[in-house]
Amino acid sequence: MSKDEIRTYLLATALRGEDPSSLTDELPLVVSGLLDSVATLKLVLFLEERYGITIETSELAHGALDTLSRIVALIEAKQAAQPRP
Amino acid sequence: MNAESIDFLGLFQQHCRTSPDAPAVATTSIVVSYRELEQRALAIAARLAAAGVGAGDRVVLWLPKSVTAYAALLGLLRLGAVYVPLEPRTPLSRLESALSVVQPRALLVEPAERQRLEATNWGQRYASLCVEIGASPTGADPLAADASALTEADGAAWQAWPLSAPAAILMTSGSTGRPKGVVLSRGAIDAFTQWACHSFELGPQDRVANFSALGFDLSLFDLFASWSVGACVLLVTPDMVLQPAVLMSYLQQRETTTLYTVPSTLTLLREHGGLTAQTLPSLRQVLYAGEPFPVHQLRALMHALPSTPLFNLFGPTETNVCTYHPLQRMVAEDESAVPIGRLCSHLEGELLDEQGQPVLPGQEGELCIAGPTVMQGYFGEPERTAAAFWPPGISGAGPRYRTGDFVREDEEGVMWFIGRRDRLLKRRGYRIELGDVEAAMARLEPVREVAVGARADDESVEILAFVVLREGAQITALTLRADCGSLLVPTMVPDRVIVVESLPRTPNGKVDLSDLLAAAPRFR
Repeated sequence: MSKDEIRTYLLATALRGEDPSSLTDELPLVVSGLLDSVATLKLVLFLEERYGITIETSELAHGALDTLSRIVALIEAKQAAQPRP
Repeated sequence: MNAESIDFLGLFQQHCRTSPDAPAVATTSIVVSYRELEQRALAIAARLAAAGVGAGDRVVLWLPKSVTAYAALLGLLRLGAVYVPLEPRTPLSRLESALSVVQPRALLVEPAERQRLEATNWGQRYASLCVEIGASPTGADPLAADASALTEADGAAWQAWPLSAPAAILMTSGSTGRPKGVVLSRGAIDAFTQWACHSFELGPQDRVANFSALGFDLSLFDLFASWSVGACVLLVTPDMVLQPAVLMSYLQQRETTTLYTVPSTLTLLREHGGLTAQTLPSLRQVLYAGEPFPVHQLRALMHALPSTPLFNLFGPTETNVCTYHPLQRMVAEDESAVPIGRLCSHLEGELLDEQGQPVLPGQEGELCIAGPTVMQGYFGEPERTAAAFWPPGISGAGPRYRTGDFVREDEEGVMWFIGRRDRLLKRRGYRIELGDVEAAMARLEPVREVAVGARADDESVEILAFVVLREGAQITALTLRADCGSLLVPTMVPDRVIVVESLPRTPNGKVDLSDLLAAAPRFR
């Protein structure tokens, strides 16, 4: 499931060394400064590559990546909108 | 009128008359000519004048970077007002302390921000000072239509204010949690733009990417140096930096000639945007400032841009650039840093010891300088201002601004940065006082005691916060870090919060973080 993958990714990268149980679904990641601009960029690249989606600048501006649950909702919405091959 | 007597705004006005159709600003979607930019600036000036803003008044610009924000900045200068740019994403508590320092006459805001302000207890009294401007980062601006409100004759008054008049207040991190407002005169901006245009041979053919936020001194180069020579400013918004490939194609399409930004952004552009001499053939120079460039990343950039001149610019907000260094050869792998270079031609300065006496040749001392780009002072804080300068006489010369930077000069007269006098560090161009981070974290409810330290390696600077929790406090280190986001701008949020039983102290009671900093695990 994508939420666990993203959680694992974050705990292996920007949030390395943090207590895994403290990374809750609603923890603010971007507005809080937990992910800096480089970490945010790398998260976007990871999500785009892993899930075959494209994330727009405007979506970043509107906080679409701000919590784990919002990230999952964004991916699911994008995948649902994509035509199946 | 000879050339010397025309200031940067007078020069802007000349370009508005002689080449009104030349591009003054470009975004991903639109190009704004000098004529249009002036009209928008005058329209905003008219709107502010109607709201009672006049010469010497401080006006907070709380807008996302946009064509409208650029025009507002010019409009304020046209009125003789003082612009105070604040980051749109500033946490409200920091906004409150910034506003209490500058006591603005008006705030230029977007409607949503005004509502955020009205929702707070302290914000009510500022809400009535808000002048709303709908700013879309790339789109056209509805105000452009009222631009005829001011006439050509009014336009002739761009240079109506003396160089000694304050033009801008840039807010910086203060050691006690209260921000400092660095007051820059028109003359300071003017002297800096003259130096910059001359040193980097800026001309009307240049297209200068504006990466910096308006509250950073780097933006004075991007905007005023460009507009004083008839060049075009390319608007780069913070979100564009998160999409380096898209940003690169924009820079390509707009034929960018000059990049001036922090090393981390240049590395992003190279690693994720594919920046090379081939992908950006219009590029003729790269300037960087704001943090040391990790040598292996700098080398990679020099490999990607083998014949593009590269410059390291150095100096605090209080002086703008004070030294600069052209990188004339490839930096060797085993070099740990590049020099900060030589003093700019419009400045004089010395390396002084703690008594304000010049150090012996080759020894390290504090870089202390004087010249037209040095700030007038910290707004409303004569004592802090006095403490920032050596008085005349002590150094055998006029007053000297103490940069706080320890520097050594080599046999060739080239300067090298050694370290800071205080607890200030620079990261991604942001100046961070560790005491400021401590003061903010001490306000978090679960925190009984906090001490913040920094640990640097060749790559980056890490900020670590050691926290003693109140009894019974139920909070994790990560959540505490996230809570800092409501009090601090993102770059100031500690990289790690470590909960400890107590803070180690020296026999005389001072917190001593050296053992904790050394023992904390490294994760990057």
